Amino acid sequence: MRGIQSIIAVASILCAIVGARAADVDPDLAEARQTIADLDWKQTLRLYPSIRDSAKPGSEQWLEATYCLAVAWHHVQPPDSTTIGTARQMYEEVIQQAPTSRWAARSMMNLGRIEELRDYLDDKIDLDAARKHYDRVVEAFANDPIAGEATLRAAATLVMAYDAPDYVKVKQGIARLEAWIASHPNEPLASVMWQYAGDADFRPLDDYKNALRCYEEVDKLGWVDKGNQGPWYWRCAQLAERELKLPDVAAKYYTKIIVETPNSGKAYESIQALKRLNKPIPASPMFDISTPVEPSSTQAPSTQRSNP
Amino acid sequence: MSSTNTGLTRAPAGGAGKIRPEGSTGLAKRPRGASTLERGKLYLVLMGLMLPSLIGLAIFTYYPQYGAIKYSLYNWDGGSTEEFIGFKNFKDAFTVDPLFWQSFYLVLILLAANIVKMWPSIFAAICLHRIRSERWQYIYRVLFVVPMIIPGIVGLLVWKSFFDSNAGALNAFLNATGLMSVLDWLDGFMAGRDGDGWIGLVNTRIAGVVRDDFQILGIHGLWWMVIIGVLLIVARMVSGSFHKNRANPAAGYLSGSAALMIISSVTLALLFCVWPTRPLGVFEEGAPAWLGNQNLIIPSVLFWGFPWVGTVGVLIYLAGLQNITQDVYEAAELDGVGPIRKLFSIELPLIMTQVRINLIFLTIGTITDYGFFLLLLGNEGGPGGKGMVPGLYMYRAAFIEQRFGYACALGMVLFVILLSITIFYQKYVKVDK
Amino acid sequence: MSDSGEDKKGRFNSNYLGAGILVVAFVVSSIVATINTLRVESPDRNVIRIAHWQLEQGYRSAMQAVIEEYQKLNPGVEIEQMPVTERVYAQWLNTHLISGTAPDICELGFSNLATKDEYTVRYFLPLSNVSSQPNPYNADNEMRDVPWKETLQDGMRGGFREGLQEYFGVPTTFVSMRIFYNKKLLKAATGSDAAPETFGEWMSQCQAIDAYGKKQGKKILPIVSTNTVNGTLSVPYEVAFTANYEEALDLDLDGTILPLEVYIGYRTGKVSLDDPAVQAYFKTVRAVGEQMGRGFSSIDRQTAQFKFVNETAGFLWTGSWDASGTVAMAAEKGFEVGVFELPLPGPGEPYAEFIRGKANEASSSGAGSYGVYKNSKKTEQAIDFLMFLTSRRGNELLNQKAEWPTLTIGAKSSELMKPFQPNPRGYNARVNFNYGSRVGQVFNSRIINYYQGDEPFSAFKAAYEEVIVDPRRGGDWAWWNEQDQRRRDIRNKERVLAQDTTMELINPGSRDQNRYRRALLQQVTRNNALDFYWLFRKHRQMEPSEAWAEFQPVFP
Repeated sequence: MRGIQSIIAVASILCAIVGARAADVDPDLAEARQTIADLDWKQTLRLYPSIRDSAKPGSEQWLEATYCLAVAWHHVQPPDSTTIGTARQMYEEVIQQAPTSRWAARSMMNLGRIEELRDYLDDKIDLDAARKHYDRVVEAFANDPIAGEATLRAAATLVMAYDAPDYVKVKQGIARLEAWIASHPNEPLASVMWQYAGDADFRPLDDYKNALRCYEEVDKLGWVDKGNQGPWYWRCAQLAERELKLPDVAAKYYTKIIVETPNSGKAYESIQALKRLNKPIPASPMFDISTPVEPSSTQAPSTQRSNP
Repeated sequence: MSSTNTGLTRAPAGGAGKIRPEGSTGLAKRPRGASTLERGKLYLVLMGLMLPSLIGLAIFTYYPQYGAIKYSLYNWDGGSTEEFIGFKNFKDAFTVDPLFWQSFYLVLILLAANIVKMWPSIFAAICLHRIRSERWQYIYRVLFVVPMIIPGIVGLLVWKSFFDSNAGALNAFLNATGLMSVLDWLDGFMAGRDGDGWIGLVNTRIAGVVRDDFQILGIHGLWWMVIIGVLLIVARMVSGSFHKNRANPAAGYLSGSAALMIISSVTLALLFCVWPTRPLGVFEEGAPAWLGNQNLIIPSVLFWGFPWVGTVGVLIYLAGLQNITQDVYEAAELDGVGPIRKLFSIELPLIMTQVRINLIFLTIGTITDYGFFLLLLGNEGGPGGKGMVPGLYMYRAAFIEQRFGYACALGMVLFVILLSITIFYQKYVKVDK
Repeated sequence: MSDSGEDKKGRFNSNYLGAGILVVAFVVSSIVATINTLRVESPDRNVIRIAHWQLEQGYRSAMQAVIEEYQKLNPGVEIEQMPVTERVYAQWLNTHLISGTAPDICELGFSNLATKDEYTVRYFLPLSNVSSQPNPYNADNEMRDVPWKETLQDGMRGGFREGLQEYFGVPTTFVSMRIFYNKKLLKAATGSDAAPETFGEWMSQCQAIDAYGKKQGKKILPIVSTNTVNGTLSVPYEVAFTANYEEALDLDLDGTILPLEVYIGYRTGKVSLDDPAVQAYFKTVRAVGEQMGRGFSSIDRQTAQFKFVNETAGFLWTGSWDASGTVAMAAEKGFEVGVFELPLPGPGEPYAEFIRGKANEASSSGAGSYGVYKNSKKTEQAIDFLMFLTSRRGNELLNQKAEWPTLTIGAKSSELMKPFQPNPRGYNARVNFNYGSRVGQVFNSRIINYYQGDEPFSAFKAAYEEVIVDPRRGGDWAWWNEQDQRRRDIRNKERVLAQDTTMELINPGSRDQNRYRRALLQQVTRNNALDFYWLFRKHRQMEPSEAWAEFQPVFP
């Protein structure tokens, strides 16, 4: 009787262990995923291989594991030709196994980033190669939102050329973005694209008219860095008032600074600018600055150089 | 009794330095295998007892050092971005960073000052050692240990307030004693107020040795100091070997302690050069800002801790002095040796090991210290950057420039310099037997 | 032998005393720790712990008042305050964060785990989503529909992590600096205790105090500072005198003049140390320095405060954090403290013609930032408490009692703190010649000699002009170093994007789209910091490869 009890006890322990192992798959995956959320790439490299090995190549779990391992190799510190090479190889594996999957699209994007950024000493920046990867995404995933991001990236590889004096590539980059937005009216990254195009028009092209036009588009769509758009408002106001002589547009942005971003440090100057432009001064919801103190000096400020 | 005692004892002369279990001679009667087994067990226990210390040492001392070595090869901002760049940091330190090497200016002065500043501790230890009453000797020893329990920061603040220009004790003392007027006179006389004072001119010349603009035969003044130092060492080595060949080996003491004293005197003369070569005019009002004026910072730092009787130093020297056996003194007394001769013939030569230890500690402390200067003068080294030392420069590279990898490389350079100096001390500062 | 052994048997062996104390201490500690753990983790109790290093009596009682108020509104919730001295706060927090026992809310600072991006993301909860929602504790005022972050005067910038493009902290207060003055001393010296209106008036008062001290046979310093003069005290003057350069030097039209832009301006002749406005700025600060005594740089914070409260200094330049302590100590000494902003030269006074206006403080970031521990079992409750703490009512209560400036819009500060509330009226652009740490080392250490009267301006100028053009430590070096940092920074942020995109693939729809767009825009704009290369070519009129050959930079 005692012997039977022992056998049952041992058997139940074994069952419990086997059962636990079977049930452990999900917790393991959850733990591995948590390492991504924690940016803990070394742990990712420790936890995902077993998940990959136990999954069927090409399956969703295999794709996830391979992709996550590739990302971890891509970002684990310190990067070198081996880690980046391994990442590259794994991204290619994902693309090969499931070329139309979302994993493949993101792998292509990441391959582009590998070409685009300097990851380690002697790593060469290859903007053309990067653009090819992005173009691949635009082509293969034309109806996926990722195509917009790929277009933005591809345009950036052109802008980054900074090919003075004619800036042909920079202009191509901006044109590509504008063409994309025109053909994709619901592009979720439209605001980012307009802002980037505006920045490129502003510098290096010094094309203030187009820069302001782009920023106006951003303003219609909503600024990406909401709450911190003060410097862009100031830029728009300065371009409009100083360069393009558009007092109404300038007043619009000065007003926005006072109302929307009074903590940008430019609200007081905006009030003065509105006074200068003879425009109405709005009330600020955050600061009671409707009665600004005038500068101590009554004379015009001067920065004139003295004679040596 | 001895057969049951498993304690350790040092082997008598002949087996000097070897440590073996007491009573091991009795094991000869036992079978050889049993002896080996027992010894093995003992060593196992000993190893086990050492293990926690070794693990602690490995984790808390060697591992961070390994990290410093590793990161010296990286472009690392202290965060998670690490970029392997080989020896580029070292190349930068040697080729494109003149400020790092300029920061050694103050360290050289401080190192030289240490040679002078260690004498008060030696003399204090000798005085303590010579106190005949054991009770009083004990009381003085305790009095020397008491300051050790005061946190360093308190000492720093006390000294800082001592140097305060308005309410500090130093200026109060100088004003009360009339010494402030003497300093004001010296300010003009020493530095040559009109540019033609002979002391001022001599001083200018000496000062030039360590100044940037001074060169002889195209060699920078600082390197001349190094060359002179090397020549002194060579002279010491030659005279040492010469003395050894003489019939009276006792005469060799001159090459040890006396050479140290000569070097100290030369150093003292060289330290004179920290006195400014132009009148400062800060003593006229009777409230010079010792730590706030660029020309007074180095003299203040050198004066810091006066009369330089360091607790640890005194205790180390005292330990050395207490190791001198009584029969040496008795023999000296029979020979009619007086207290001064005892000092130079017996005590100084026989505590050279302790002098070496202290020199090593002082050198490590001087070269690596930065906290003192950071707290006292800020991360720019105070007015005129006069308080910039390599450690502080390293701190700036890490925490101001966010170039932690580069700071690690600078740390490695400092480590190599320290190691070389330590090897030098080990080789050339030793007891003359 | 045996006798002595018997003797020992009967006697108390003192060796056991130490061991006994150790055992008792261990047992008691274990019991206390267990009780505390059980108490905190008891399912019947809802305890939220908040840790901070503000050990000032005022702050702790202020926090307690907020806690009590919150507990009244939320019966069943208990908030426990855990003040830890700042000397051990880092070690204490590190231990608890790593061991999983950290308080639910922690003040962010000191510890690397609470300040460095790669650790913060592991241990603290991102707050972007909640910060965009209205704060329910503002339901009784006009901010009821305003996103939480916009209810704070700094827009919650004090808790934003640029590297992670995420809010990880909630600031609770502001810090600002003002001039404190001894009303009794000023009245004795000048016959009036009114604060000066202009710089000229202030300097006259300083001279009167100096003369008064001499008459009394006492060494009285007119001004002392708890902070470096070439920093907080000089910046308002820098703005006042050089804000006019914005139009000439602000290349990116963002409303500020970056040190790089000043360097470009300097190399292209748009600004110089000889410009009258620049000279006026340096001379004004020198005039302040003259009233601080020679060698004032050796006077540290404690000494400065000590001199002021002991009536051996007339004016004290210090921050809001010192206000309540200074006022209390002054009251003990029998004098009243007045507070005013740094005055500027008024009409008719020297250099007034160069003044544009005061420096504004509207763009200051909040301080006293609290984060929520990621592994806390009560994150929602913790966030709820932080919302209360930064609601108009909670923030007012905290800062009025602690005598600190309020941060929440509309929260009224105490009478003492009124002069410390950030002044939004004024300018923010300024010309700071200090570019790069190596130039900074020379600049800061030499300019102080000038301010102290130890060197003429020409000596400082010569030192600056030598270092700024030195390729190994000057402006070009700083430029290279800045671009290298930006390049690394972008590589760093790439990880945040990788995390976002991967989490989105694993769990579609989980991504914070705003954060992703922000990071994406920043990435494409600053890729490899190539914009810096372009700027260099354009303004230095040479290839970076010529100037930066020694530093092995990245070339596309």
